[in-house]
Amino acid sequence: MTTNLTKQVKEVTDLAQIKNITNKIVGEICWRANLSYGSELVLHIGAKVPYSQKSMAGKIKGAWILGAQATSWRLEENTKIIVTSSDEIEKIKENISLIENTTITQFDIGFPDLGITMTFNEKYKLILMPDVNDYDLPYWELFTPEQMVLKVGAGAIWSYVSSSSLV
Amino acid sequence: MGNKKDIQQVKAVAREYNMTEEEKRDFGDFLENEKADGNGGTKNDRGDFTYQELKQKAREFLGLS
Repeated sequence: MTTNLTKQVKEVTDLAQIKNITNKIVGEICWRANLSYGSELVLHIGAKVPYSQKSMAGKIKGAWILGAQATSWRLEENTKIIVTSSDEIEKIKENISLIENTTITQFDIGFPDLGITMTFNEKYKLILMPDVNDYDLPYWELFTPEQMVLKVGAGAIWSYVSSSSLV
Repeated sequence: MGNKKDIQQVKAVAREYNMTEEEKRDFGDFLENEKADGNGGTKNDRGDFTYQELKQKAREFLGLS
């Protein structure tokens, strides 16, 4: 599926196409989990590839990149909460690294909230909890090795477009 | 959670400089690297950037200056 798409999510079966995309991430390794600008939680996953810009020469990123945008999240270890997006930045940086170099063993999308539940090494669980009353930003974005980006939300909508598309 | 206003400002600057979706996402990492390298902005004590500073950083990121 490489065609640019924008679709509404009215029922759970409308998630089938998204799941076809996200299922491919299961089994991949999350090797970097950190905060990007704006304290956005970002996971770098799969093959390590260079950034395209000269200004980022020598630095690498994931073939898959998940960005949580401004969505709330929490990280659990065997149902015990380790850290949440409301914690201090230093605590987040210290604890989010627990999922680095782990294998993604599950990637589920909730309906109708369109949140994510990701499991790492069948031990850690990262849960994204979109605010369904927030219409300003996508709930989350997933850049794929096929140079596409899956944007989910805001609202009951998703799009799958080339990452070479203009913002 | 992520700071919505900061993320929206990055998006606005990305549009102003005709960035692609990939460039916009990588620009966020560039900005965070700049902060870590001591080249942060003056918006607050965390080194975040004002809108004008973001525009200058966009030029540096894209190799325009």
